[in-house]
Amino acid sequence: MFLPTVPALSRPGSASAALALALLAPASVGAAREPVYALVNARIVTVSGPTIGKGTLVLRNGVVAALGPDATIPPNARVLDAEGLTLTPGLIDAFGGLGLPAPARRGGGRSEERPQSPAASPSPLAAEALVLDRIGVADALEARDSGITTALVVPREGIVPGRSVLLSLAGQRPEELAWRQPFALHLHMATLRRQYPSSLMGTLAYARQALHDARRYGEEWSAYEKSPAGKRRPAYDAGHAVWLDVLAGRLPLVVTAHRENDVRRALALADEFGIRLLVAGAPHAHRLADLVKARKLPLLVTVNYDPPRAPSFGSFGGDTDEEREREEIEEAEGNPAALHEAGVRFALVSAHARDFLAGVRKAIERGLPREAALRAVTLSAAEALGIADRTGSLDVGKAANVVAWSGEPLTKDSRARMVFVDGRLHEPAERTDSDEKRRPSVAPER
Amino acid sequence: MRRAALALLAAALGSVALSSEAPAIAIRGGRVVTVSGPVIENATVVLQGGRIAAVGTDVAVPAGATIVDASGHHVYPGLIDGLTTLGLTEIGSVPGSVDVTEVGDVNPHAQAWVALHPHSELIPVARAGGVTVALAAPSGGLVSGQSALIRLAGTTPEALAVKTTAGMHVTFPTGRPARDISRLFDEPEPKTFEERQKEKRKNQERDLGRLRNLLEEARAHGAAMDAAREGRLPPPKADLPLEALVPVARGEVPVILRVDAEEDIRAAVAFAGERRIRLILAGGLDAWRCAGLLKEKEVAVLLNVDRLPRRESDAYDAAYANPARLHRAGVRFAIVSDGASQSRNLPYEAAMARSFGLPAEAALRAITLSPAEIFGVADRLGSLEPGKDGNVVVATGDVMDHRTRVTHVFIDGVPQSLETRHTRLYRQFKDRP
Amino acid sequence: MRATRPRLRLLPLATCSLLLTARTGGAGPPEAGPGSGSVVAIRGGTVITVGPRGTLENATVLIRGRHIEAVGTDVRVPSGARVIDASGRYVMPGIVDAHSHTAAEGSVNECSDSVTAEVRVADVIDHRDVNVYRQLAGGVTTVNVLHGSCNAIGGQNAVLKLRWGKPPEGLLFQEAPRGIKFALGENPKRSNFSVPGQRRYPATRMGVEVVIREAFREAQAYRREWQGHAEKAKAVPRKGEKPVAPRRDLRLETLLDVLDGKVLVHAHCYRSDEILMLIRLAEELGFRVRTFQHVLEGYKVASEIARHGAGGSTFSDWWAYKVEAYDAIPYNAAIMAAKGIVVSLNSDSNELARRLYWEAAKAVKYGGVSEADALKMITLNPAWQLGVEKRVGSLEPGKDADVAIFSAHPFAAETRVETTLVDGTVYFDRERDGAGREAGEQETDGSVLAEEGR
Repeated sequence: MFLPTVPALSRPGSASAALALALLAPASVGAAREPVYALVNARIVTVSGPTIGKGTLVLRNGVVAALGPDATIPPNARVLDAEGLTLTPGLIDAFGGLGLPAPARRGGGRSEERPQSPAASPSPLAAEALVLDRIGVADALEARDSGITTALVVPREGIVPGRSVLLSLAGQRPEELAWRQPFALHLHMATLRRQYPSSLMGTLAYARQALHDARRYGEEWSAYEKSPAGKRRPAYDAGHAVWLDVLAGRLPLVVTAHRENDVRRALALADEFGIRLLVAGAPHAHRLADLVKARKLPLLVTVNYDPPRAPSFGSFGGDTDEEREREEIEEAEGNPAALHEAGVRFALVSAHARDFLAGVRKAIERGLPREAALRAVTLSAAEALGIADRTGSLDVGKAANVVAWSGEPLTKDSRARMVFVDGRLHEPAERTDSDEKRRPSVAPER
Repeated sequence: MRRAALALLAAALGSVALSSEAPAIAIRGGRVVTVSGPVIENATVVLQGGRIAAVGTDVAVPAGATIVDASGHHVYPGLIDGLTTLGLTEIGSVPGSVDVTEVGDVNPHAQAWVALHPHSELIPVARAGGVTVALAAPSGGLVSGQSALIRLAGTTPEALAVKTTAGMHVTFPTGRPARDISRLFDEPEPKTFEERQKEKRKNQERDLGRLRNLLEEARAHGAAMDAAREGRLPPPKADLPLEALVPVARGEVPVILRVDAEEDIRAAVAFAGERRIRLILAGGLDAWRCAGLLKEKEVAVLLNVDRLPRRESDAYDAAYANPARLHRAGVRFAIVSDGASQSRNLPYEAAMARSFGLPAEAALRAITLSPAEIFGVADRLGSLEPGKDGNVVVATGDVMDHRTRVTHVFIDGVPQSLETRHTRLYRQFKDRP
Repeated sequence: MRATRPRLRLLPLATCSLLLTARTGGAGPPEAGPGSGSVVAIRGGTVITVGPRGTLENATVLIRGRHIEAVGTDVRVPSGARVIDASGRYVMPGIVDAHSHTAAEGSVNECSDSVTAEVRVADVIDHRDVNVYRQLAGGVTTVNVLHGSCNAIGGQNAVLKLRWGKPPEGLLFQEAPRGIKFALGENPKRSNFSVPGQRRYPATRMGVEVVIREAFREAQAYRREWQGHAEKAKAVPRKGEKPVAPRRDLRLETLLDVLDGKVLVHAHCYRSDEILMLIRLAEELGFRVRTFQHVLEGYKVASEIARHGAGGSTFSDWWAYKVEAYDAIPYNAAIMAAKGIVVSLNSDSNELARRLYWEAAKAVKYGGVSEADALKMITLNPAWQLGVEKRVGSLEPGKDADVAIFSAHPFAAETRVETTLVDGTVYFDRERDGAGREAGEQETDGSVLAEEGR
């Protein structure tokens, strides 16, 4: 495995000093550090164009330098024989919990566990929070074993859990992994139990009020900045400042939709305040295919078909309609295929599922063509996130995020043999099936 | 006048013993709906000695009998509400006034009849609606206790009780956690659907196992008690719960089982067959889906009609049409209020069943003779036949019509006051300026 | 043997309506809605108009587009009209339920605070709630979906028309004025439940009054703040720097709308003293309560309610479930009506909403209300209470074509709803429902269950 090495103590002398300086200077990740790679004899699925039956892929300086059946191999390239392997762009999990600790287990009637420190239990209403602060790098990097090279990380709990970060899975410290920081502000269409908002109505009212407050905050500060004379200085409010970023279009808002109508609610909120919107989750979005298409709504579609849910008040001990619950899960499984048939472009995301790829395979099983599934976790995901100009497909100039699969990508037995992130090679260790079960490749949700 | 006063006194004291001294009553000129036989127009019902003495167009009226003019009115047997918490609950939200659910899962030795509140305001209200007999049942937990069949007149529990033990109430284990309003604002652990299903099945199996063990132990305990009585063995250690279950295990006292889901009903019927217990279902929302099975195994059902369907995919009238479907399949059932404060609306539940396919006579039978049969008291209740208890209701019209008013109620031949908390408050305030 | 319902596999948008069918037994999508000019004639029935013309035998209700064009015994039916044969049947206005919590996603109670005027039920409409269909099958066409009774001042309600199959916006009764929920008595003071570790104010009826009074005081202060700002802004010369406006507070804004009469107040209440409290407080603050809801002791203070001008929306005969309901009597509606209060009977329940026609019949039994007046209690009266009496509540020309057709008089013992129209479109028809149901509803022999391993 190639990781950036800590520079050795340099000897005095101008050459070594220069080298030391070069090494110590703040560098783009892996600048001129990783080797040039040429993968040859590979089947290359570019996603953006036709598949190359047998060809060469050259990675240099963190980007795709060349690719094609007859691409030139640079003399200094490390040549890797990819005979029998299929190359795809690195997979993108555009909405998940990579690298985050499992949410604190609640008591729910059992004996009190040791009290959680405030840092461990984040506030459920904290626009100012930054997910990056809580990322565990080692945990996040494990995702590469599944072929994931890029991930948007969002906490599952809370209503406004704060701002997410887009990670490129290469580096040692959280900052090194951060590709876009912050990426977006998140609003979950959820409720709290003992505090406001404890109903969905309350959540929407909360969001509306937050945006109004941010608007005023902005007016107050800009009036002050324009001419402070005679004015009391306004107070700084981290939360307002973030909502103001959203209002001003500097930061998108990602709304997590659980129900069909949550998508409508998200659109209504975005319309009322003129903000940039993405919708994540949306297990029944196919019912709104026309609306999604007409509004060109970036959709991050969940493969977490049966997520853990707290029983709702209505169902408390009463007779639940299990038939309906089962049908809803089945509908969620068929959702990606239905969206595809309706001509909707969308990303497939883990949405904190235990096994992202298993969820993607389920969507394929339920009718989503494999090619469409692959696009949904590569180029369509990049498009939804607004980063398709720099990743999501194997094209010259794009980031060198590549996976070499042992078999057909997105099948059960196909393993990621080599994973390149920003041109740096990671080779997943050989795993047996029992290993797979003990160490899931994404952060568990419990 | 003196006789009327005596009758009122008898009513006030509520003692059955006095009813035999109460004067005879002849209810004359009404449309007499006997339930057991054809409707008789312009007929007379004679009550004497606490019983129905005669029914017909040509009956002899005893000398000195109080005449009740029922011309233009309908005359019915006193209605029977086969599942209520009458006498066990007053104000639902006030625990001090509610004696329906005991602590603990297994309470076979809890007996409703000892906890009856004869002066509950709810009893006169139900009675004023024409209900004369009701099942007062405990609920909750796995084995809730023994219900009593009560008459809605009397000043002591003994006076109320027609049968101190009508059935043993059991809730079929659904495997779901019990409803606990105190935990409403807790933070329960989120679970996936699959996890909840697994947990449910596990809980269900465990609880069915408990029931099985209880009945087996009861059977053995009963055998041991018999042996002790016959001097073959020393007496077994006293065990009230098991003792209470012995007649159940022997099929002498029926289990009244609360159950709605089809798969649970089938499992319950199989369980009952395996343990040789007598089974009556309460709730039975999915009963129509296994009507054939219920008919075959002769399982009766206590149906509450005004309910929402169980599933989204069920027909909108699944609960309304349930009685009609059971009727067509030949399953025995009663229509019940499954409440207390709304027991007076019993005839309207029957009306809904009637609007959705149940023939009118069958609807009326479901709130009179059928519950009497189900609880083994059809020899004395449920129809207007000579020899039966003098429970009679007179109304301005069809008792299942919401506009009809009940004008007279007789229980054991004693005229009942139709005064209730409601009529008193009405009189107090209706002319307030 | 069981006919299996269609499994949900790939569902292109076109089959979206099938989804509705598969789920809800026979609840198929409504017939294609009428174009603006299409004509429907409901012919030959006994038409209970609930309007000044009373009940008409063998009459016709002529509908064009969304509205009723004519009602009478000699209405000419144009050729090409779709005819619904109502001979032997009873035709009445669609039922209006003035107290409902149906078709809402999640909780209708924002319990976390004592005043939550900013939350809106309209934000959480669940247009796929099958109870909408079940209520149509009970003749209901308009419902007032209220915030719950957790708070002294709750959130804003949503008045809906049961246009089953339309998206959420399509269910909103556009012409209905805004409304808000107040709650008095045991519920807002949490007498019957508690949140562990939390003792929320108020715990007494004294506190309920304080909460309401203080909320409006705050709203008035908020108004003064904005008025002050408006004056300052006016005083600034044209090119001068405009002052920054105060913070917009959605909660207080709503309360100001209450004071300005723009939002109808529906107050959940039980005991006579709390009814009098709110009358007193409302008059002091300068607004009128539109309806007292439940108002189970309304009969004790009927003249005061009448003088104040509020309507009363109550149960026919529920009682004894709480202490404050112990003095409830089924004569409540009759006594209040006799004092000139506009009285409606409501359901507050998906279960009861399906049979409001019989609840109205009980007003005849208790207190001798006439059948005509009793029917008003589930049609024109609740329509007035919701501020939509110009649109619904009676079968009169110009009003919305919301109609319920019964197999017999709505109060008759064997009656049943056969057909329900909203805005001239049939949204429920028992025959069509039956057709859908036969397929999926045979008695089973348990074999399917055995296969599924249950």
